[in-house]
Amino acid sequence: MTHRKTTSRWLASMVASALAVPLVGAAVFAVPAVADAAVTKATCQVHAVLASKEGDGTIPADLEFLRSTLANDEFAAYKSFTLLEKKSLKLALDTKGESTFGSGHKLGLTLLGGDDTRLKLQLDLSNRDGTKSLVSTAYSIEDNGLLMIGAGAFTDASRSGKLFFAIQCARAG
Amino acid sequence: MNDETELPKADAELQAYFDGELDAAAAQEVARTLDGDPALRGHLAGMSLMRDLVNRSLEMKALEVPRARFEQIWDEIDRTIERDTRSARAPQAAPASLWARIATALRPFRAPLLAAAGAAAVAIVAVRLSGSPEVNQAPEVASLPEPPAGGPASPDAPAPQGSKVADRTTPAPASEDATLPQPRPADAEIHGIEFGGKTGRISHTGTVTVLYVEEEDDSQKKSERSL
Repeated sequence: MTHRKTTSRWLASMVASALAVPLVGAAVFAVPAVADAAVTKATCQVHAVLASKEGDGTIPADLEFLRSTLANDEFAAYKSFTLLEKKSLKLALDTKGESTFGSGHKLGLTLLGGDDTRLKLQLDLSNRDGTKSLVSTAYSIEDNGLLMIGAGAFTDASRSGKLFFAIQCARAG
Repeated sequence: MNDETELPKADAELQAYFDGELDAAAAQEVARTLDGDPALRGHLAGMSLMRDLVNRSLEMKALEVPRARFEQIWDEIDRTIERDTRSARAPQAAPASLWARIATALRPFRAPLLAAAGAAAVAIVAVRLSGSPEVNQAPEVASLPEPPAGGPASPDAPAPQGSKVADRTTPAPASEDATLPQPRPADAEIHGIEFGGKTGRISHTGTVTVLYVEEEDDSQKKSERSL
């Protein structure tokens, strides 16, 4: 009886091992590698954009490159867009670049790697006084792709609306 | 006095009067009728009482909902209205793309497909993360202090071997010379995310991914849309 149980357990372990190896192998090799170290440098541009519900829908020349994005239904509620600030970051692999914006937000980007078509990045955005993280995310995106962050209401002396950060990164070198 | 056959019409007229939807002449006529009909005046008073009760009940419920949520709800309503308006304005819908047609065909199976895709993504991410130590998702990265001014490391310099994460933080280079080409429309793939503010959500549109965050202070401020 005991011998039969031991044999069954041994057989079950063998079958499980035999099945697990090809399954894990397939999972690893079926997915294109994202985080390999083929990309070692990247250039990122971060635009701080104020989206307002008042306006005639005109997109200013300095945001022309975002026209197709801002025309997306996601931003349909906003009637005008203003570029508040633009920052450039040059990233080396695993090195965090950080920028502080006029709004007080601190935005950090780290290049984690990439492959032929995609970049993998770590993004950290702090609150306005830089004391707390609002969002921290690891993401991958097409080379020269765009990630937007809606960072809540923003008001200065003459304008009010919602603050968006448009983060665009491309491989460099 | 109203008889039973006239009541529905009178009710509708009275309701329109109550809602301020009658033109001047019709409103005057209803007002004259009200003067001579105490039962109708009672009916009108009942309508007013009912509206007050409903309003108070809604206001009580509204107080329980965070203002930030209202802002989101109104934004969604705005977007929906704007989308509908755009659709109505469009003279002729463009022919649906292949992907749109595929998406439409798959819509009934969306839930199981999403579930299967989600399970596959979780499995793949788990496998990839377990084998890729270079992925830096340490939460402390977000709270790193800025390095002291005056000694910025070169942003292009490779990270020193074995250095701590805090040592790898570099300030932003001041140069704004680099101009990237038109961004490529694509969703981002989120491997891991932590929201630290009051609220956070991810929106994938197919051409861009938008992360929405909100500071706790924002919800304390009086919203332009708050009740």
